[in-house]
Amino acid sequence: MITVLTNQVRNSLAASVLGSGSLSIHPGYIQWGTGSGNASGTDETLFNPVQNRVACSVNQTTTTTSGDTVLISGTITSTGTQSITNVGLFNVSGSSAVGYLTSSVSPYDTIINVSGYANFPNTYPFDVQILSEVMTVTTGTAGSWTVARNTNGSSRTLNVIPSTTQVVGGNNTANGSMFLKTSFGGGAILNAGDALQFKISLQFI
Amino acid sequence: MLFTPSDIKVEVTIIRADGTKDLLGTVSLFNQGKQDDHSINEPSQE
Repeated sequence: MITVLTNQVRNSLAASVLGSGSLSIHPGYIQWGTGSGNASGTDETLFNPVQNRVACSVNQTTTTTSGDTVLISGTITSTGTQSITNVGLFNVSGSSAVGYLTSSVSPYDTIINVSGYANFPNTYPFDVQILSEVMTVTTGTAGSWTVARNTNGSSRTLNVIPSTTQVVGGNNTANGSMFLKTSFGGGAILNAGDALQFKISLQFI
Repeated sequence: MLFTPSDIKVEVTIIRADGTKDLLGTVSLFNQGKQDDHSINEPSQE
């Protein structure tokens, strides 16, 4: 199991400590996904998000000294048989926009063709994540975007990304901002009515 | 240092439809890979 704080949250936490900013990502909603991949700090969203986001309880609690811990807990119930591979903690209840490549993408392509175009913003820039690579969409027309590759510190995908690969909205979309992400290597196989309970504690000294 | 996060832990538990629970795993961000209690398909000892 891999858990990471996203790059955006690390920056925001550091800035708030220095008084040069405030924590701009208030975690409150969890969602899970069924796509493959290892969680990375550069991720902005889930691998194949499914089902609606669920509100968490967020409380200040005591672990060692008074009020030293933020405890976030939430439970998602499966609506069918599926293998859950990753979970993210977000600041908004809305879900990620999802589309699919309509043609393959080579490592240095900067034009990508996407179905589900209408699910994404029509103002620019905004980010999308394809597999583990984040791309910033700088302009576009229906079904075709111009992108900056490997943004947000992510690595360029060095293989050809096949047509029909999923495209998920990242920062500056309805996705909001992701605070933390956990991935499970083998996936947790759930049937309808099964649930996963998440308890996330951030303790400070 | 002004501010030191001592630990960030994530605990994931499967709650089956019949009410049985199984700890899927716990992980500490400051000890990546060292505090996993259970691998994904390993039965809980609880």
